[in-house]
Amino acid sequence: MGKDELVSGFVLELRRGTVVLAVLAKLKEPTYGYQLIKELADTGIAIEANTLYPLLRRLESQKLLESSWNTDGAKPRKYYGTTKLGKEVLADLTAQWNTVSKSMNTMLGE
Amino acid sequence: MSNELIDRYVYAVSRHLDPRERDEVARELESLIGDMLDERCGVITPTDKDVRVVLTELGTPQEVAMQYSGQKDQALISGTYYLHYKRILKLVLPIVAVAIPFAVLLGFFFDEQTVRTFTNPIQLYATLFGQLVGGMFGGVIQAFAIITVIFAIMERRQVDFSESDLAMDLPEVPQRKEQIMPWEPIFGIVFSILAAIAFLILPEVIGVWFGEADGWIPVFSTSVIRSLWLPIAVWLICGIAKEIVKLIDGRYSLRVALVTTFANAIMFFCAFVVMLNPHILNPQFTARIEGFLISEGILSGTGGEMIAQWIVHANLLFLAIIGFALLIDSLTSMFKAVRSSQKYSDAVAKYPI
Repeated sequence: MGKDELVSGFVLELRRGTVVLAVLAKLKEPTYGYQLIKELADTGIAIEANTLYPLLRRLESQKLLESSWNTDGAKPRKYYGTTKLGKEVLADLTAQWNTVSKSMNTMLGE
Repeated sequence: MSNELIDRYVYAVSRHLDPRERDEVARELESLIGDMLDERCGVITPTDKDVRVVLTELGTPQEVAMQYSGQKDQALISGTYYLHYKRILKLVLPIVAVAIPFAVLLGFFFDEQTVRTFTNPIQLYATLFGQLVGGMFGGVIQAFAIITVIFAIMERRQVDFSESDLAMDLPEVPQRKEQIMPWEPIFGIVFSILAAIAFLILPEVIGVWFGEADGWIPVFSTSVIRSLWLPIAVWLICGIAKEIVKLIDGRYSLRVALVTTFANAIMFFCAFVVMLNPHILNPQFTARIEGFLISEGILSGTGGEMIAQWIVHANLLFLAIIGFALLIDSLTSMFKAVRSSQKYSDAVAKYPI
């Protein structure tokens, strides 16, 4: 296995660990899946539709998100937003993230 | 947005999914594909080529379906369960591979009629060899299947293995005395199986040799023992269950103590049912013992008469011995568990996880 493959494997793991946090943070304002992909891409977090859509469903089944179909526009869209539990989990995860990133930055900055 | 290609794609994805979520996922995918086409084409009507590009970007239907059904759930047994699964298989399959041929061997030679039908020894040994190999492979495959099904169910039900996981994380290994070496429960399981085989299939094996004149006299009445197969089978299951918990935990944990005590209580009840059957003892056996004691001059006078009366109740003696052994086993496991858990909490306090 070449170096590039190794690195991309590790990067994938890193991203996988942060994507839930990113999604919960973004969905404090309810939006639909495709819009969320674009918003995340704008902030530099690339996630594919075939990963994000199943993830949204999973988080919904875990009661972290709630969804509703909006049929006002030209075509129906499913809007997702965080629940109360989702917001609590987001707060906990954010605290964890801050701790981890602080330690990592301290260590990597040495 | 209606398009034959999109419809086919969405169907190809949703047919792999749980029927309850098919419609919802289909609707979601159609909405997503519509958004992706809008992004690509803007106000211009998308062509078939555009649709193909977008669907290719989204991934093959199988890939998308895999993502939706969650990759972890695709595996029958995964994660910690897989580790335990491998460990149990490694322990149990060799036991079965040894115990089953042994049982076949016993059964073959005790079934005198089978042996007599063979006049040619080569034919006899060839048949025996066939039965041994067949029994071994059949037994191993069955054990493999049963263990796999049990673990698949545990995986689905998310049965908690946390206690043994904790053991893996702890810095200090419990003292040697509290550890359970794998061969102890394995020996227990083999013994339980052999004992059950002896009781259920060949009760006549348990007997005493009374010399050439009387020959081998079984202690128990064969037909009565066979009619009591249910408590004997329950006994076997309990005996194996408590050993399996020991194998999994690898030390005298509280769980081992509780399961052992509970299993022993059920086992005692089974022994109670079997041994208190009034016809359990072989009348020939009690008569022969009595005869032997009289001929040796042990049974004489009033003391001798009392002993003679007690011989016909030898089953009560067996029950008492079994009960005593089970009680000792329960007490030992509880004592060791308490001592072990104290050492554990000390270790945890010293090195917090």
